[in-house]
Amino acid sequence: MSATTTDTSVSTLEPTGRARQLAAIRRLRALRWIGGQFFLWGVILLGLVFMVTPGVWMLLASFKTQAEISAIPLQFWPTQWRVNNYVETIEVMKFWRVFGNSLIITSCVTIANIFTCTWGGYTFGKLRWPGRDIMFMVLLSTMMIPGFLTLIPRYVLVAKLGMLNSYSGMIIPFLTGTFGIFLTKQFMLGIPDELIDAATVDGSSALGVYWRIILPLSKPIMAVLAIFVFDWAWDDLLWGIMILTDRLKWTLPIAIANLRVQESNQYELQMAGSTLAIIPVIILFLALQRHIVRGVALSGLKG
Amino acid sequence: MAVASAAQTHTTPFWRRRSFIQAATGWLFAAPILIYFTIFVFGPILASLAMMFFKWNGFGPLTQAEFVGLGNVTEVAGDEKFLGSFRNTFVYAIVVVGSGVIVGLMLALVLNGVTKFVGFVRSTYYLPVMLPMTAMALLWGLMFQVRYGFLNQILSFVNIPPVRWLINPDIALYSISLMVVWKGLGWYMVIFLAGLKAIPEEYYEAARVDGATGWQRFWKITLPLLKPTLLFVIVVTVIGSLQVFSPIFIMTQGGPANATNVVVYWVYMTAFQFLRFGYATTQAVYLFAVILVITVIQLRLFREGGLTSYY
Amino acid sequence: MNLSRRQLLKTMGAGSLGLALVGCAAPAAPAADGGGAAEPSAAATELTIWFHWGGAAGERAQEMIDSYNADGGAADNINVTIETVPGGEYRQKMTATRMAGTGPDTYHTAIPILELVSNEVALEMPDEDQAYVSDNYIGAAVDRMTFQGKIWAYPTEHQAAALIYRRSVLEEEGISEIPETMEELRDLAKALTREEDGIKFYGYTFNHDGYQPNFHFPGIVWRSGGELYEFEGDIPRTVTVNTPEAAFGLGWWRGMVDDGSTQIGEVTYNEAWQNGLAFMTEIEPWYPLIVLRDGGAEEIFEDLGVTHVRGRSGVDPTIQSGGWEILADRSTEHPEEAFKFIRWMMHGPDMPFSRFIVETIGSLPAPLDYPTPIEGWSDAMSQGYAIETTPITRPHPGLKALGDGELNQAIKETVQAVLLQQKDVEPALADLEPQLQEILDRTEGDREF
Repeated sequence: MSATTTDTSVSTLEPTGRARQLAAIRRLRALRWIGGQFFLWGVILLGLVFMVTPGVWMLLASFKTQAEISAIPLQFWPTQWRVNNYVETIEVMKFWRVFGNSLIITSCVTIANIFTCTWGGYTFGKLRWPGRDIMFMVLLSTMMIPGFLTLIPRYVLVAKLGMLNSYSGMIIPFLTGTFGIFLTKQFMLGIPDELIDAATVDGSSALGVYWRIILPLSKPIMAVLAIFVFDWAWDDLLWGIMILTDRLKWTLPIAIANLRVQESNQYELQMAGSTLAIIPVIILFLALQRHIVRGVALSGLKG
Repeated sequence: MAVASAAQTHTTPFWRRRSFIQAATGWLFAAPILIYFTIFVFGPILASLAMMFFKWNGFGPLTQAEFVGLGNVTEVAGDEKFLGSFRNTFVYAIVVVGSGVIVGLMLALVLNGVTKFVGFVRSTYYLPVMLPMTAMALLWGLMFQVRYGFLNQILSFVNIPPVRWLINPDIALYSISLMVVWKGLGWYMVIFLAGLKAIPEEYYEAARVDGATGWQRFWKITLPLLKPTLLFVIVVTVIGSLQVFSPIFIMTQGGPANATNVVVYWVYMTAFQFLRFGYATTQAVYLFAVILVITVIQLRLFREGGLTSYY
Repeated sequence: MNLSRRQLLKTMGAGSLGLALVGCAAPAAPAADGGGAAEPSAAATELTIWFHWGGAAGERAQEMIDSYNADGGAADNINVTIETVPGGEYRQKMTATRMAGTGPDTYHTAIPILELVSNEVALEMPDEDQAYVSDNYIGAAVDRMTFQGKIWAYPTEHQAAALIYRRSVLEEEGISEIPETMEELRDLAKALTREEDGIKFYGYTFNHDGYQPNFHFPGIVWRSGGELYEFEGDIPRTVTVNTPEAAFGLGWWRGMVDDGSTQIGEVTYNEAWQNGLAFMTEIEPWYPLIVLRDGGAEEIFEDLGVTHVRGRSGVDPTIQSGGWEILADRSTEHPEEAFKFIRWMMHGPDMPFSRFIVETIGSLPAPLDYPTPIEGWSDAMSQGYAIETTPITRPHPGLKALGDGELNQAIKETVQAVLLQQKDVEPALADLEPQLQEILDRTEGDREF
């Protein structure tokens, strides 16, 4: 290919000229590299501004007065940082109470999903059994039906199981999920069969393989599952409204939705509530992000 | 080895045979999941699907439900508003998935080219993914405002007249897409970036030695090796986008003049506003069939591309 | 940070799982009840009621129920608990709870009586209560509670719009009173509309953010001398929107858009009012109370004039009304106690529930003998809403139609298209009429109960 021309042309030069040539090429490369980095960072920074502005706006709005939020023309900074918005929001929402409820429910759901989805991923991705692909397709197809359509039968079921107005009613119906199993199955394809075969030869049962091989190797995908499931469960509104009637058992999204209905004009309280609500998700993401990138890489790449 | 196991099958009882053990193990492992799904997912779905053949207002006692046979099924086929909502849904899905994949991939390529602050940049881009949709819809609603909105104020710096983002029926759907792409971009980027990081550097070295241009490297190495990631992203986001609901529900309620009326929003309206539960279920089943077909086609297309081990 | 599997499992297990187990076990423990609810005696009848308020209004509602439990409830040996249903998920939740047999004894709800009766939710009220409502509530509210000659619930509020305006702005123009007809009102809106330093001030505004555009439609048609439906007894049978009267009404609205004196979504309604960009509007009493007075725009609240909406010249003004009601569920095991509880809340002279709604939430009073001026309201509001608007209200026609949701959607699409200048008034109404008729024929055709 034409690619080798630089090599051949360089090799025909005198030793001293060649060194100079190489230095020039290196300089050129360095310049191009710097130029490239400038371009790349330009794009990245532009994107950063675009991505961050609404979030920053939300944060700033949470410190403003109502009048400042809807001021004309647009007022970006609060004239005075009203920490009191947070104090008021925490009181109006019964924040610590609903925050605790959300934390308990979401943690239960997340931890359960980490185990059930890796279990499912192993079953559908690694074990070989007749009917596997059909059953998997059936599971996958449940992702294609809008959730609210099955709301009433699900409610009746949970009511019959005596789980209304309780944390268990918020947890038991969400112990596993199709998306999580799909994600983990993709990841499992990347775990070499030889490892499993070797363990089997050493006398490990399938359960032993799951516990000793699959779980340790699945840490990255567990992190991905944790963040996806946590984020999703943390945000769920409709089911909570159906199940929880006692205001002391409400979760954060319900309390925020209620703030929206009751304090419909008080954007600043809604923004303060929303800002408080996302903090745990951000902490979780920051703590797990290394694992997440590895997990996604491994689930996406190996076919 | 193969010969040995073949010989074994003639002498050992079936429950000691490897194929039986494998099958039994598989089903045993699958059993808890399948039982759980039967109770909490399939059961409610089937109970809902049965409604397809009834006329029920979603409110009164079930004994009031009237059996209408295939009445709902035939009515859907001639329902122009429902079919119209399909057009909007497809436009939305193509715009959102298309720009999400393209812009997300471009950003991932850019970020793959730098070495500093990658973690910080990645986290920042991921931030909107985690922000609650309701708060973001409220925020973008303000940003989309015609006279004083943030976006139009910026546009006015370059002398572009104010855009009627959510009011003009010709662009409302695209405005919502813009917000959704913004919110999801970090997700696409993180996944693509992870996929890119996992491509061994040696492939690129080899291509560089061969003198391949950046463009060629992208087409010959990056894209083929990214295919599984692409498959995952596209399958998941297409399924999700065809069921778009909350941004529409919060921001435009299908308006103005039906410009953002998407299928799931219309199903919701039919069920909970028009109180036609049976009819809404039938509409949902049509959507389900369409999504299923599209998903199967996607999986086939990628399989023909050379990745056989997916299914 | 590199977690080993053991660490990962340990942290998650010890930390959150412990929390999780506590959480899963918690529902078994009795809920800690807020406030000083009276300790019910051993044999007290337990009743539940659905409210939708949280936040400050929720606290006040809880106080009211607490005082019932301490007062009337203690006397009758009844203890009431609130179940809170936030947002608009009432209907789904009602279906689900009724199927599961977990519904409450009493509801505070906005679902039309027609639906509550036809779906076998509403428990028939004793004659005593029907007579009380009929004798003590304003006509439009009683009408809203009536179906097939019976009264099914107590109206807890009576939401209807009046015309509110900025007195100081009108005075600057040398106008001290709102003119008497819709035609003159449109001219006034146009005269008040202006632009200063690139900021536009609107003569007349509609609440597009809070309501769908179809919401104002029936009132505007009535005020123009038209009707939406012809009724056959209780049942709407014939659609009559393709008429010169309806065209006048919708044309009046569209005309204000063409004049530039009203707007569709360019500024949010709240922003326009809180920043003083809007001079006139038609809105219910909750808006000036909650959004202007309590929302940091006290000067604008103080400056408000309130009067009833105007009709076309030669036509009496009329405004659509709606609201919530209180009723007992047909499957309650304690019907007598349920009505005792409802009477305590609704009957004069104390009528604690009506007072709570009117003063806290902001609603026209539904009881005839509700004392004016109303506590916490401005004099202008007491005059314009309670005295002037109450007699010209008429229940929203959607409350009488089974296919209300679908009818509204069709009207919304049409009104939106007209206001966005995509369709002209007459052809739009000509298209709308057969659509509505089809829905009416389909939904009312087999009405039987």
